[in-house]
Amino acid sequence: MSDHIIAVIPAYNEGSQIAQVVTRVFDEVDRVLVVDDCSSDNTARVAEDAGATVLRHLVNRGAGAATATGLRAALRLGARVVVTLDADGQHLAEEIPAVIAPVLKDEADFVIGSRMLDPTGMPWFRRAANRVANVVTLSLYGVKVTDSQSGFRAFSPKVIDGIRLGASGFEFCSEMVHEVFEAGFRLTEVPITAVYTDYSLSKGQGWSNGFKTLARLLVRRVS
Amino acid sequence: MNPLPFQLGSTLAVLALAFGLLRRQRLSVASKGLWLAIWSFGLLLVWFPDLSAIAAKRLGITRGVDVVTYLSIGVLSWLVFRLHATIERQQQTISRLVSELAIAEALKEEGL
Repeated sequence: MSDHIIAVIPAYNEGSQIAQVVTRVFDEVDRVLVVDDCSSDNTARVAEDAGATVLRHLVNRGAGAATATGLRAALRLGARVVVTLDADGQHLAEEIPAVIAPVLKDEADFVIGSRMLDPTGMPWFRRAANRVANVVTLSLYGVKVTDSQSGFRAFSPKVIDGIRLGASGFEFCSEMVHEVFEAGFRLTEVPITAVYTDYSLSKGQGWSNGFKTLARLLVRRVS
Repeated sequence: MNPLPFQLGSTLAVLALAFGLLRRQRLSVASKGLWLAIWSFGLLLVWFPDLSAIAAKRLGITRGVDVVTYLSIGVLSWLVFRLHATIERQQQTISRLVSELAIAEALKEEGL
């Protein structure tokens, strides 16, 4: 296995942000994969110009599906560790080493970068939504984590190979935590900083999206 | 009032549905069997409405029509849930196909 560190960035209409995200991430990893989830803007072209390998979804499938595409591709490329992060600039590329460290040291198979371990600067409504999501994850799956919805995560190859990457939408965040836990992989959390701008707040899950995600989680759990 | 016209009409309707169903080659035997069973049961109640009253008495429910209502809600709920689960599986299949196509296109030069 190589020492290849691959970053996977799922993106949907992030043409204005993706170039600087890719550029900063490149300082910390060996390769950047951007999964363009059928954006209607120039996300794919901008990401490619910034040096990323772009995987293009022919139709929009959701954040979970885009993440799954990137993880599968990274696995085939022989990654030693894969880190996922958001395309909207919410995550600091400088914190990638801290997030992937437990996997590289073989102390964990799956790492969640948790905003809630140090929520300084996190808007109250996002903290509240996060707490609700954590309660849902605990209730449905019996897994207690501090930030079930964080997209800043690190994976060992055996986790990517060993879990079912089925959920297409944002419900993948909780479902993935459950899959990792059920499969007996080692899970840990490290504190990360979340950058909240008007732009990043307009992205991600709002309350209405959150209710839809909850409904999908309930149906997927029961069916 | 004479129920015979309604009974005959219902029977013809179910026969027409059954004929159309059996001609569909894309449906599985199990699916055809399920729908035939549901329609046949409905037709049985049309021809022998007292059956629902007998069932109601056995179950401690006041009226036969209530038994039919509860049963219908239960069956319909189950069918909708099954439909939803099927759609969910198809969505996952579509996502998987889209994913593999994206990977194949992006990594073809690397032989992956």
